[in-house]
Formats: sequence, structure tokens, C-alpha cells
Amino acid sequence: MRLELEDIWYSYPGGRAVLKGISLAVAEGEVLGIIGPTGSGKSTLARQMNLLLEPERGRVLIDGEDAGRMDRRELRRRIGLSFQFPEAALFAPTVREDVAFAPRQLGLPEEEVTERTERALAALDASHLAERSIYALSGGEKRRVAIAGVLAMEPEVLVLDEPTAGLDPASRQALISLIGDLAGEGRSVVLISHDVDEVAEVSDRVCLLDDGVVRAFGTPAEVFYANPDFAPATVRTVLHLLESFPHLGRPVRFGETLSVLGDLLEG
Amino acid sequence: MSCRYPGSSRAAVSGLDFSVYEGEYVGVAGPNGGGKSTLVKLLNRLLVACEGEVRVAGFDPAAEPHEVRRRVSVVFQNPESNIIAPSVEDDVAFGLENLGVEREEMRRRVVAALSSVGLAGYERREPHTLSGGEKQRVALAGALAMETEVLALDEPTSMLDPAGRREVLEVIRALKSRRTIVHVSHDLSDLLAADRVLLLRRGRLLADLPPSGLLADGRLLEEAGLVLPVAARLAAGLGLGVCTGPEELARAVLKRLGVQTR
Repeated sequence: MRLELEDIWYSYPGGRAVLKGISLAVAEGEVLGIIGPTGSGKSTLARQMNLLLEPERGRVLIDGEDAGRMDRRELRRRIGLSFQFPEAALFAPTVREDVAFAPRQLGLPEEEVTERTERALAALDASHLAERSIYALSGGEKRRVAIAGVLAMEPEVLVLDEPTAGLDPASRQALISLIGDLAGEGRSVVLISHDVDEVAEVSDRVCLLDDGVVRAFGTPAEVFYANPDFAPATVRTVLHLLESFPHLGRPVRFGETLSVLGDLLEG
Repeated sequence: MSCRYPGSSRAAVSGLDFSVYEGEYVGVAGPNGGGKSTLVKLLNRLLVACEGEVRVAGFDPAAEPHEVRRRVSVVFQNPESNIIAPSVEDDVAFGLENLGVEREEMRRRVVAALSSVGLAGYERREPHTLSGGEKQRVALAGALAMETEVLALDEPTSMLDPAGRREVLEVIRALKSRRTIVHVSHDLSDLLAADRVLLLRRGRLLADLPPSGLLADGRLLEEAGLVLPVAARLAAGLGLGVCTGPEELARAVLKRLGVQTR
């Protein structure tokens, strides 16, 4: 599914404009990273994507069709949104019941609910937690279970708002691999994150949001090399070297950077 | 010392044995659930150890919490929960008011604390108009104004954007050797300026090393479930030894290639 935002404007009631004419698109099977300082409008933008907040101006388009005219339940099934600190919304007595809640609300047959729940738990490496109380989980486990709950809706677009904040490196890495896998299956993922290293690692395109406007939108290389203040360590390293070696290339990800620098060192 | 939360079968920290000396900057790292935050809470008696003892300048937090809290101030992870007052000035002064510090002295300390976190002139600002990094620096100023010997920081940067993170780390680094600092983070790149880093896993002390020793020991990091900062991983992959950041890595590459740098 292709999700497009077209000239989106939004202000919270009585407040100043938070989003000032945002246009961007996520293609099927693409990972879009959204970065930007605190208060730049990232989380507000996430809520426009399934019209949880309705834009004052502009449109959200799904495969070219105006989402504003679609049934809201259908829209939210197709575009799954995981909030910042989603574990705060866990409520069922067990992990399995919590994950099964949303697919059950869709009115799916019980067999399908069970299948989806198991699949989502497996994807988040949380199958072994299924019978646990939601209160007997670590912070990282709670986060995974909460994201499994959104995944069990099997949305075509998954919007993740700071999914790795507060997670340790191992849990973080697992989540980043999962994002890559989902995109590989043809799902689109919007990843909102402060961690530019992880955004660089997994995104096909990057949007840099600043004070409610899109300051840069393009491939990771285009965005990061033009905005060194927001660039990951790989890009900042290469930027230092480009002065001496203008033909170095512009690697963004960890592995590509390692190989480009390796070639340089071997001459 | 050991500590177990009610209803949990596993001790949150167990058999921990270490000292932090005056003026030291000690990092505490480790995976989620490793016992890092528990450790901070044991320092000023937000929690009480079930076994063993904690001493802060000779005082037992369980028996003499006021003596200990006069010496330890804590800054927590979430900037929103560190700030309570309607203006920056009032917030920084809050702890002092509770200690009954005299008015002129209070003013002097608030101004000095704000200036040392780079927020001179912010006295009348309303906290909700500040960025995350600014809020966290206000919280640090509040801790500094208490003029405690020990500053305990529990993941002070983990909810901040990169700019806010840099601001807060700069302030912490500037305080090095002026205060005793205990700085908890699961991001090793935050702790590169520390004198040493305590590595906690499952409530146990896995290592007590300077940051360079930690970065050089890939197996230990793997065991602790920690990943090297990107620049350090690149440096290790390229056989360039220990590099802490992009600047240093670029210099190491240039040096290896024999390129003169300014």
C-alpha cells in the first residue's frame, strides 16, 4: 500500500501550528525514517497517518484515494500505530489475551485470532511469554508485547513512534531486524526515532522534520550528508574524511561504511 | 549488598561490592533489568538494601536519610517528571526552599547553577516552553544548587534528541572532578568521559573498568548484552584500536594513511 500525506496542516486546539504543510509518501515495502528534534511534530505527524488526528488542511491518501472518505475502522486496521511507550496501554491479564484483543475486535473468527496472535508473538520473539501476567514482564518484554498487539492487526502500514526508546542494545537490534523483515514481506513501516544510527541502518528514505516543516526528505545519504547535525556516526566519520578524499563515496550504513573505509585503508 | 523487590523471585541487585571515591566520575552500564536504577535508588534511600550495607560519606541511608540526601542529589530519566514548578527559577530553588536556605543565598545558588548548565537568563521562563534537553539541564541545575557532594544521574539522556543529549553530556563532563558523579546509562557512548564504568548484569557486577578497557573487550560487552557505539565498532572492524567517536575514528584513519592533520 502506498501512503501519502499531502500538504498537512495541524494545530492543537488553541495552540500554534504544529504541522505546517507536510507532504511525504511511503511506498509499499518501504521503511521511512522520521527524525527531528523534540517538539518538531513527529508524534503529531504519526497521528495524522491513520487520521487519529484530522488535519485542518491537506489530505491523507491511500493508494491515491482520500483516506478522509474511508471507514475509520477499516483505515485503522490497515494503518497500525504504535505510540511512544506503548507498554502503558497493556491491560489484559495475560500477554496472549492482550495481543489477541485487537484482532478479536476486528470480529475475526477465533481460529484466525489465535493464528495471528501466535504469529505476532513469534515475530517479536515473545512466544515464551504468552501465559505471563503483563505485570511480570521486564521493560523490554512489555515493549515487545505491546508492539505484537499492533502487529496482530496485520496492518499494511506500521507506524512506530520511538519503538526502541529505553530498550537495551539487544532488544533494540531485534526490533530493527524485525522492521527490515516486515518491509521484506511488502509491508510499509514508518519509524520515528531519535536514534539516527538505527534510522540510517534500516530506512529506505528519511524525512527530517523541524518545527513542523519537512527540512529534508530523500534517501538517507541525501538527507544525512546535507544535514551533518542530524547525521549518524558513520556519516560524520566519512564527512571528516571527505576533505582529504573527495572520491570516498557516501556510505550511510554501518556495513557499507566499514567496507568503504576498509578499501581506503587497503589503498 | 543485595536488594529484592516485593513479589519478585530474583534479587534486583545481589552481592554488589564497590566504592566510589570523592571526585570520581563513575558510569554504570548494563542491559534493561540489570539493576542500574535500583543502584541509584539505594544510594539515597528511595530503596533500602535487604542485605549488606550502603554508606554515603559514612552515613547509612536507611538510618540517616537526611544526612545522606544532603549529600546526594538525583536526576531521573524523564525530563517531565524532574520538573515541578511554574518557572525555571522556582524549580531550581525548590530543593533549597525545602532546606530553608536563606533568600540571598538561594538566589546566588540558583544563578550560579543555571549558569553552569548554560541556562543563564532562563530564570523567568516557563518550563513547558523548554526543549527536552533544556528541561533536563534545569533538573541538573536543581541538583547542583543543592551543592551536594554526589550527583546521581539515572539515564539523564535516554529520552532526549541528539542535540539535547549533547547539551546534557557537555554539562556532565564539565562537572567532572568538581563533583562525585554516578551516571547510569545503557548507552556506552554516554559514559566515555567517566573515570571507570561498572557493568551490571542481572543484578551482579560483571566488570569495573575504565571506558577504554571496556571498549577494547568485545567479549565482555557481548556477555553484558551491550553493543559498542558505532564509531568504536567501525574502529574495531578496521583494526584501528579503540576510538570513541567519529572525529577520533577519522583521525585514526588519516593517521594510518599517513595524512597530515591539523
